[in-house]
Amino acid sequence: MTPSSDTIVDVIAAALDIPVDEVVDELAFQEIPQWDSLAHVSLMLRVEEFYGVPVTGDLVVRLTSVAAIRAFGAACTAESR
Amino acid sequence: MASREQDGCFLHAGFLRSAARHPDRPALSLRGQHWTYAELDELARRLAAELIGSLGRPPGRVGLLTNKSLVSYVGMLAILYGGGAVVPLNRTFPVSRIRVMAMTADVDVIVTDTDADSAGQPEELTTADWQPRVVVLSEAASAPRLRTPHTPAEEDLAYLLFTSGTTGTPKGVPISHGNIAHFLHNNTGRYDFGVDDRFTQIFSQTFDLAICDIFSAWQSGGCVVPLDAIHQLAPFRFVREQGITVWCSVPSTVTLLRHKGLLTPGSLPTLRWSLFCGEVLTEENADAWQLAAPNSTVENLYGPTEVTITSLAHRWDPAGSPRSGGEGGVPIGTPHPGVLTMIVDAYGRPVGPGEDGQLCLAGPQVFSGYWRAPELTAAALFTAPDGTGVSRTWYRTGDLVRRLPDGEHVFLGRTDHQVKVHGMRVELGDVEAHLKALPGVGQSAVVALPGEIDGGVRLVAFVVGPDLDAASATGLVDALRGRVPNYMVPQRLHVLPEVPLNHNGKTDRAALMELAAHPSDRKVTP
Repeated sequence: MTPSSDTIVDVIAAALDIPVDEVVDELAFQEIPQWDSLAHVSLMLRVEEFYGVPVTGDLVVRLTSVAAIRAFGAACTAESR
Repeated sequence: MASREQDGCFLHAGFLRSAARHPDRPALSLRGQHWTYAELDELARRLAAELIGSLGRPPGRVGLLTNKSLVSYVGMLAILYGGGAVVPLNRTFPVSRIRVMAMTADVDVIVTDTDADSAGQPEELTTADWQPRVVVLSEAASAPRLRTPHTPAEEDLAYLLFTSGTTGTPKGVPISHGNIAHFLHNNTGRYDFGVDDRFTQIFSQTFDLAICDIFSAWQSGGCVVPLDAIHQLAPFRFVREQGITVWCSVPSTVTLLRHKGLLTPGSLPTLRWSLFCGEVLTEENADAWQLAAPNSTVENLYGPTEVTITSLAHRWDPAGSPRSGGEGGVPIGTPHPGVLTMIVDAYGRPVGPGEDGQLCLAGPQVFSGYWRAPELTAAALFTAPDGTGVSRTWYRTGDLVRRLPDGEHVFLGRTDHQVKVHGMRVELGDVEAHLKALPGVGQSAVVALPGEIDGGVRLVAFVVGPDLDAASATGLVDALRGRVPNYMVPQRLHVLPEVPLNHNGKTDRAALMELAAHPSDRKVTP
């Protein structure tokens, strides 16, 4: 995670090397050239670090959109309360 | 083992034989839907008839613009049944790249399906000067079935694939039915594939390893089970639930799984065969995969597209395989039956025992030359006697190897500027040519650095132009995305005042590698 990664949007933007304003809920794996297999692994590692929750194999294949990552984050936050 | 003639000397012979022997066995399992051999055969005969009907004659070279859909599999068979040759086209590539491939192949029709997404639509390929005929096939094809599938001659074209070319134009690699029949016959002897085997089909259908998966499965009466890209990153549930027994991927998949900590011992128990090709397989990856798939035999396969998918193989033995300690990774093995090897020095002379040199290959799997590119062919093929004095046509692989005393070969690197990105060949000159064609770019150079995650390479580009500055870099990368496939787009692009030259006046790639590895304020990143 980069020092400027204050939000999950920053994390995703940094992992995919795209502008923050392109990180919208509808954005999904392989929809843009930058979100390929390699970037997805990098993204999952950053998501894991950001939320402090392990991203298992099943999650790797489920967290394939910004919306899914946000929902995962919301669930992590709710669980930790 | 059946003779090659009994196996059939054309690509779809194995499918026809399996359809006759095992009509009710599953041949394709795609996203929860299943088709038996009889069902695929019936569909292929109807689509072949529709294709012939729409053209008014048997097809010639047919562009297949779809991937991992029902039509993509049946379409291959239908084209072959109808007497045509398959020219796989990748819908995810930029339209300009697809168009160049289709035009170079001189396809007389492009086959696609109704499963089309937004990218790479056939109508986007059309220009004022070139309007390819497009046939949309669907499983609802109502044409009467083709009674007798075409039986091609050995020298007839089976498929035409394109690889990266040094000048920015993809090179066409034509593979004949005789070439591929020999490869598939070798597979029959090498492996014990059978009707209970279920093959992952990971690669895009524009990659020749997809031909290997699909037709090895169909030759043995097994089932093709395509794996979506996302499942490659965590294939365990898929492999278990689908009962996958044969795995074939690039080694960087293993690196990614290990990097994420997902490749645990015993996590892939159903696999019987684990085949890796397209990149260097490290000993660490081979060991880790063997532990994860303890019931499988791990093989490292090697081969350029020009010599029909794979030409050498090493069967991994954790205890007995030669350990290089890192250099070159797992050996690329010994040649398949019929494949001949020769290692030559920079002057084309055979090297002495144990000396390094360029690997050259001969035998029935060697292609006849690049598609309508005699100059490229002349540079790649040469005639020389083999060890028994028989004159052979040899293919220069461009790969540096060493033959070990036991006959195994070890890969040492390249003689040129070709690299592999996720197993896909990239000529650095290809990327450089496309960069140089962009407005404002006077000079360009691209180098490959070791990747940080997948163990492969990452591309770094340098450009020079009088009006280029920091703000130009992002736009240039975006423009390049419109011209080349994603895997050919450099991860970083730097603007330089000039390209460093070595004492011969050529681009100093060593200096550029150093600049790429240690960016300074002289460069600009997007």
